[in-house]
Amino acid sequence: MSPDTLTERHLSSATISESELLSDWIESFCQQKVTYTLGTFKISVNDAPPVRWFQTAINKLIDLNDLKDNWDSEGAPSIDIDCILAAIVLLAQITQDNTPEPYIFPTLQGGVQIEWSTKKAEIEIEIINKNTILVLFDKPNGEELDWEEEIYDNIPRLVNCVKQLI
Amino acid sequence: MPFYSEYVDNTTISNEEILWRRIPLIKGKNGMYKYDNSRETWRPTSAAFRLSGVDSAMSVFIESIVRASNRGPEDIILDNQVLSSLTVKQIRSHELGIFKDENVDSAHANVFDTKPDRSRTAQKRLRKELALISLWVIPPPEMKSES
Repeated sequence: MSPDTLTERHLSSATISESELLSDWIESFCQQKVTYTLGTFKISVNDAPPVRWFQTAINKLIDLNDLKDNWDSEGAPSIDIDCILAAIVLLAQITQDNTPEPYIFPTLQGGVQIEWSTKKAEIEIEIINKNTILVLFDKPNGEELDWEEEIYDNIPRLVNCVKQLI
Repeated sequence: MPFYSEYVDNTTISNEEILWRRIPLIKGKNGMYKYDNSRETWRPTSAAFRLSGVDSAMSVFIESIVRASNRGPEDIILDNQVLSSLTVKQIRSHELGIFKDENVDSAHANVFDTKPDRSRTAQKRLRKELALISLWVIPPPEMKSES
């Protein structure tokens, strides 16, 4: 399922819809449903994962939208808003109850990278455009997996990796 | 900078040369590095290494030329950037090349992929490998405060 089809469509964990430009972010009437704004998008996260860091992570992702061209002083482009939206939806879908806080980075190609590093596993998920992710999954025993796929094609595979962080 | 088709590994640059790679800052935020729990140290994220096929080169500075002009690491970084290093031998062992780009600075060079047709996951794996083998020249403040 691509972000195009996510637009104005309810998902189990997140909805993205275009709306009027709103002020920063608005926490809605209950803790489980949080609404953020990103440009002209309104993002509702329903049944947000029950981890304390989730809102912080979403805010970090939204902040990436503020990066202008040449944010790295070496010519990196601004971050593609579609990649940020896709990262929010993806993070909402794959986060488990005990998932540790991820690192979130912009990429020098205008994408977004979500990373975890624990003693049990390392995961890098790079959202290179609104449809595609690159994934590295490494374990201390030398087990290495890497793949490229449509972003929402195999959420269970990503969830399985995330579960192995703990 | 020349077009990619004109990128040629400058073999006059010795394998023993040390290259300094500036680790970008997310403006107003943290740098592009993280605490690596499995290795128990701070290291750059792979996202800090710009290598992704054709027309993509990674900016570096050649240490010996910097020092020959009576400058040091602090003269190379901008704002609160941090600085990592790789050797030319290391980058060539990953089928990367290097050419000087003196229009930017007498010590400036670009690292490029001599195999730009490698898959995107292979490119990503390569960026991570560079992140893992790089050494700090100017480490992150979080690391300094621990020592």
